[in-house]
Amino acid sequence: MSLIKLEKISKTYKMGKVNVQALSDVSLNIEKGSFTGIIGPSGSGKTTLLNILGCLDKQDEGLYFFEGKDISTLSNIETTFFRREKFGFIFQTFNLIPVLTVYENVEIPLALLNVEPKERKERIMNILKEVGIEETYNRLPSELSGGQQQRVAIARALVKNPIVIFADEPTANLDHATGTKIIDLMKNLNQKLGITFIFSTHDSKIMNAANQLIVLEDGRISN
Amino acid sequence: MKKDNKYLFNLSIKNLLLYKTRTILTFLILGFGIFTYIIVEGMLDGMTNQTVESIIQMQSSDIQIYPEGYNKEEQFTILNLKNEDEIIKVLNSKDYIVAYSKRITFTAMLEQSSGMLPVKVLGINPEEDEKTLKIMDYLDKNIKSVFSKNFDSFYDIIPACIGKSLAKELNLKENDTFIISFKTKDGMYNSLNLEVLNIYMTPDSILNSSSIIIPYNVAKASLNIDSSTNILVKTKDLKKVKIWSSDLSKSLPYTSISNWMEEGKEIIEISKTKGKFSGVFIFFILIIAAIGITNTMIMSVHEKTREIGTLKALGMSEKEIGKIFSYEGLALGLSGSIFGIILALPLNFYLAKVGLNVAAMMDIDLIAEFGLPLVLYSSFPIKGYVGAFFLGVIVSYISTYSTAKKAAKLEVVKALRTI
Repeated sequence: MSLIKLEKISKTYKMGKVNVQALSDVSLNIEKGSFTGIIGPSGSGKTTLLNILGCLDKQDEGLYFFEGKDISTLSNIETTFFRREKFGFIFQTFNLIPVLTVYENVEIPLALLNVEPKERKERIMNILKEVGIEETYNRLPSELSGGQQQRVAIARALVKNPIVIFADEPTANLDHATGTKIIDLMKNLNQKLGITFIFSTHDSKIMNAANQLIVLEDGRISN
Repeated sequence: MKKDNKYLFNLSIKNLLLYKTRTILTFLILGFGIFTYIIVEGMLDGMTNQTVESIIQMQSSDIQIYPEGYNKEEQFTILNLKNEDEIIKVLNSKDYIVAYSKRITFTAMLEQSSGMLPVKVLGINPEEDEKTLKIMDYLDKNIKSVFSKNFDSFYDIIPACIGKSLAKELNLKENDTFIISFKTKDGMYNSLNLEVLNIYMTPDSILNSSSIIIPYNVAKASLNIDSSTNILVKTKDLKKVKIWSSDLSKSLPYTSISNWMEEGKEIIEISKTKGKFSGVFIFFILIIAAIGITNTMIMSVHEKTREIGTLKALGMSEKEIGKIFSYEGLALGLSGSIFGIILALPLNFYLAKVGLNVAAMMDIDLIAEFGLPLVLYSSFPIKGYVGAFFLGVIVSYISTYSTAKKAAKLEVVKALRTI
């Protein structure tokens, strides 16, 4: 079953006085429960595509269907609430809130969804256990290693049981061994929980783990 | 507070605590601003209260009874009360009157090196006067016995008390003699030989700089009048003088009744000027606080741009992002205002109870000239406290508002790209 369908998506950026065509006529389908990688050389439009898929940015042209519904016309606030309920994000630089503890960072999506404190606690501790960092719940991000920080980010993305998790180069800032562990963890969660993962990457290991690959070249799909 | 608001508030507080030095500096600026405002407001308010009190205690008492047609500006015209006995009977019959004192007040000329100097002569009966005013507290203790003697105004040298500033201007010391001249009721010229019994310094600059106090009977005889020129009345309650002076006006139709508020019009004007000064002062404090808070918030948003992007990506709305920064501003405003108030309370309390020793800081002649009290007491400005608190919070909120709005409007993708 197709979870996401893009039809002729185009996006142009203005850099100074020059217009840069980041995406051109991109059409694709992403299956529910897939582990999808977006690959391509630097500047090919991977991040732009991921941003549009994650509703962080809007296309200039084309249609975006999510679970069969056209979400291209959603207003800003509707898009915000859509992201809040359905999407999780993992960033290359982890993007944890430095003043919050591991527990509090993972709590953000649940607080936004107004989940009861008792249920919050249960879900947060379960997910921290799932990603293998339950003992760090009271620490600040600055007290953790890169791999642990990315696990917190994964826990934060997972805790609300999203339909899709978008990950922008999730292993780029990690060493080889840690990167491998993170990929294994994401793949396991994908298989165990059935959550769709969509990631942009240069990492061959993560490409090998993907069951769907979207190859971009100069803003166009080349496969 | 709603659940999600509580979460956002906690995040704001943690953000504030992250940059402790900057937060503490802003907090101190606001706190000291509020502190200074309360202290200055209390002292200005206290000074006005003391000046008003001094007018009541040194010059006017609560109510004054003048002869019909009395005009304050016509200082050389001698007018005395008709039917004084009838007036006294009425005064004795009013249960709100605690005391009264008969006075002879007139203007005389005093010779000095640069020419003639007009002075206000107060003929008083110390026994009566001390019940309506507090001048006696500042005069020689022997005055009662000295003033009660019988003097011949033509032959005798009359004992007089003279204000400190006036004595200095005339270079007079105790036991020095001088002459005042004046017109009697019938327009004849008369003069008195006076001897300085006592040089006084009161909290009233007019008394200090232009008044001479002589015995009531001498003044009465010298002017050739058979009754007082005015009567001072002390009532049970200062706040009700308007009602009671109106009652006295009805009971004493051939008189002119005035109360301390009318006598102290100039002081009320000074009070208004004080209000303007306070306004300018508050304005500057608020500007300084607003600049401090705005700067802190701009820095905060600048440093947290990527965090804002992350929170928006996670589904935080513009309103909620705005709330985080508004709460930061409000928390700064609240804590800074409370700090200022806590800092001001003990000093304000000390200045209200013990007072500021003006005599230790200023030349005594200057104090006499300006009619300043030797010890200046602060008021306890409740309105100032409440106003300062709310102003602190409101200014913080307003200073934060535009920055919070700007933060909320940041584009997610751009914010996430920020390093």
